[in-house]
Amino acid sequence: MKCIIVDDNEVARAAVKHCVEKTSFLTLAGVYTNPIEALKALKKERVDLLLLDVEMPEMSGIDFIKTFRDIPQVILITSKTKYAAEAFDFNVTDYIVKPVQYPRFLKAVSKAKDMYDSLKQGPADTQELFIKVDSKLVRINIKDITAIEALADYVHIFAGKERYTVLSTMKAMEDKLPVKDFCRVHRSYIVRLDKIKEIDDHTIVMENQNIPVSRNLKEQLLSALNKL
Amino acid sequence: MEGNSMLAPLYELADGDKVFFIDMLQSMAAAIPADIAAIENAIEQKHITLLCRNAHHMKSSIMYSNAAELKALLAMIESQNESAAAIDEIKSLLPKLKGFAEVLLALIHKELAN
Repeated sequence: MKCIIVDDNEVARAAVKHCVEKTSFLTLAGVYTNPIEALKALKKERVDLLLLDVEMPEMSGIDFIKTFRDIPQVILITSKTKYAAEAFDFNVTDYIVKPVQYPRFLKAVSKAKDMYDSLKQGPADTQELFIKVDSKLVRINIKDITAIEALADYVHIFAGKERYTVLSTMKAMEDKLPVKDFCRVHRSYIVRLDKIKEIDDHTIVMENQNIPVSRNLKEQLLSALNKL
Repeated sequence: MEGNSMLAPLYELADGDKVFFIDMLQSMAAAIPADIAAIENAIEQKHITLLCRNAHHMKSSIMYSNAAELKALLAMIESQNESAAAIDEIKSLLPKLKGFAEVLLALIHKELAN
């Protein structure tokens, strides 16, 4: 799991960094002294977990969470318990009171890892998706879906030789598809990883179509591929 | 590693990792004087919001110590965020604050020297 640390205090950052480095399933993708820097970095690289201080001068951790539309998991780290109730309104994964000690940290990140793993697997036993086409509900096999393309308020679902146009959003589609099989590669495209034939610079070559890869999401795509 | 009970939370976190323990002591040794200077500066400016923020920052810098009196004093300062009138009272507590900080700093430097 890729995580970042955001805390304005050097001692606090060092302590959390130490805990991350002790945890085999965490990879530290960045350490930031303020939320503004972290926001810039998160636009370039997707992470799975934010380890976030609450009280920072530029922007509080809770205000930081509010800026996200598609938020990664968050563990709030603070010296006060008074923010806990508000924090859980934003579906934070856990809330650690400073000073952080490793057993409590491990408990919190293990909870995040469990959630991450269950999301990776996608909805259990779900192999098909019913989509509304005109007045009918049509069943399509998720294994047949090769790509999704955003089109204003609609999405095109490419499945085999068919193309379905459905009233939906990319976010809703991402939530329905198993994360291990699909990857968002562009603001307007999701692809099925095992249908990729080639990646040529910023273009994915699929069986029947070419799909652009955005500069910001290419790294995420590459990390999802099994490559030498 | 065996140690002074004043630094027990740091010993617990370090869990025998001496390099990390020393790094943390060095960070604390650098942060504490800077935090005190920032608090003094906010008092001089009579800037209560900045003062509370700086007290909060220092609280984080010393959180891996058991310096209870220093922590309590900083928590009291931090809680004055709505009261600009409290500046003079806090100013009068500054020598006490510095005294507690010096005790902790001396202990940190002693640990670093060992």
